[in-house]
Amino acid sequence: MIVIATGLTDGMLLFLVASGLTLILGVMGVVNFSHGGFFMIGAYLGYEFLRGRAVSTWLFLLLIIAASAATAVVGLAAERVLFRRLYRLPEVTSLLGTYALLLILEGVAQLIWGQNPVTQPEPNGLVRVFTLASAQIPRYDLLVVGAGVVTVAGLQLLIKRTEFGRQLTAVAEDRFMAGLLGVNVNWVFAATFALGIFLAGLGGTLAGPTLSMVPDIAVTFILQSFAIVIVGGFGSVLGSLIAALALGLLHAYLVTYVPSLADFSLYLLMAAVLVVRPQGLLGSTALLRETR
Amino acid sequence: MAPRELAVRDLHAYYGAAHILFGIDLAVPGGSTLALLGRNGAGKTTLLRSIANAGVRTTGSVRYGETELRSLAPHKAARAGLQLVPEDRRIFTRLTVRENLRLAGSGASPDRPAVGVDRILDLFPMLKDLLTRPGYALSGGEQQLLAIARAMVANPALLLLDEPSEGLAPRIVEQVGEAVRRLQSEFQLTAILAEQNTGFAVDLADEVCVLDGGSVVYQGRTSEFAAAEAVRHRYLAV
Repeated sequence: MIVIATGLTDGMLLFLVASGLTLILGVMGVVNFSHGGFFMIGAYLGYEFLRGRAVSTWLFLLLIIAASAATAVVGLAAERVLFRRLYRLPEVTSLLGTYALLLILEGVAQLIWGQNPVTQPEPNGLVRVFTLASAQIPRYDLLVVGAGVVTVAGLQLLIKRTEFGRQLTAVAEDRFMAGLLGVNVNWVFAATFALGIFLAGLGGTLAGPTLSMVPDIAVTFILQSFAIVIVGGFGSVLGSLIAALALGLLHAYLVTYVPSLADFSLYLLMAAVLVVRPQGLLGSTALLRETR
Repeated sequence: MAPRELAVRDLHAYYGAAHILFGIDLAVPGGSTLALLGRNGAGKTTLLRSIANAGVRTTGSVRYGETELRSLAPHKAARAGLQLVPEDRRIFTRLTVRENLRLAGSGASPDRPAVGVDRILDLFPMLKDLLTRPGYALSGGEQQLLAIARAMVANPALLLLDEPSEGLAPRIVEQVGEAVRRLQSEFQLTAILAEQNTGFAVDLADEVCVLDGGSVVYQGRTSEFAAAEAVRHRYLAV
């Protein structure tokens, strides 16, 4: 049971980061290497907003949403200054541009917060464990899994049931025609980017109490997130969810039962899925072609 | 608001370094339909895309009433009353027929509010049974009808149709023609119908313009065009 709880929690954190990454890739066609940087900024902003104090659960929730929104504001500024110029350029240019931004974000974090690890305690009330099927499960894991479930449901509602969702789907498939029909493509790009970075920030702030924060977490998380996006299928939020949970569970299982293989769980999952479905679990081979 | 005149003046168009249109002058009176004819490669699609400011570099002037369309981004041109139905239809395959139609409401302008999807379905009854079908599951004819219906949801004052009969069976071409006729009678539209199917286009039009090599080689009333045997033979015969 503890393996399942740990796997689901780690998987949900990965999903939050990967869902933003897959949205940005699916709609704008930009491979955003700086996404891990925004995850890291979110973690540090959460730390700043909470000032490293243990607070009540409700105040914690309020402040992590505020920190995620602040991360999205930083993301919007980056969209205006950098990303808007990348949408029409070849992939290699956007790769270099977003990788440069990742390095800049890491540098800025080093300047502000230094290289020494900082830690954020869990909120009061979620510090203890609860017992389920004789397993001791941290209460904080429930919060992370709950946040993931709410995010999945929210994204599905947003994409499938709202005007913005229709516009986002249309722009992802054919931005030229969407513009001809009157959709403000630049606005959809900016809103999607802000949403994606909000999710990266949410992942970062929620991950805060589970890790010791150093600027390098930007790189660690971006590699795992890319693997999730590839395994889940480009542009598929549900695919990212399944891939992230599968990776979380596989990693938790291997750590417990086959520790020597735990570090390879990412590659094992990628190899197993991509051999059978090169386009990823729920990916369409046409998606990337259509977004060009 | 009554449809206004479309006036194209000294329009040149370029794809990269390639010069495609050479000083086009064209006037389409408000509320009338122009058949834009010419062989493959004459510049019909480029002219329509130039008017819509859609991915073509242009010089010159394209005015719809008092509005200079060349200075507007595509979504702003849509909100100024323009809709282009492209040759390849570009139905959103991952949206259903209903979602494709509703999306086009984004292009309505303040002085011409969007037409309800229900009213559009009265004009295109064949789409009623397809509302929940995704775009990828439609036939070519269904896609064409949806593309025209979708444009009409935005209640455009200026409608540009690029080769609506291309690749369709004769029976479907008839349906498309009937749909265009219904739009002409129900909506106040200025329209350009680019076609290689001369008979189909002339039947629906008030005026005819013939392009060749990126220039206008003929413009006149439909009734006059019937007598312009030499023009038809020289510029349109295959």
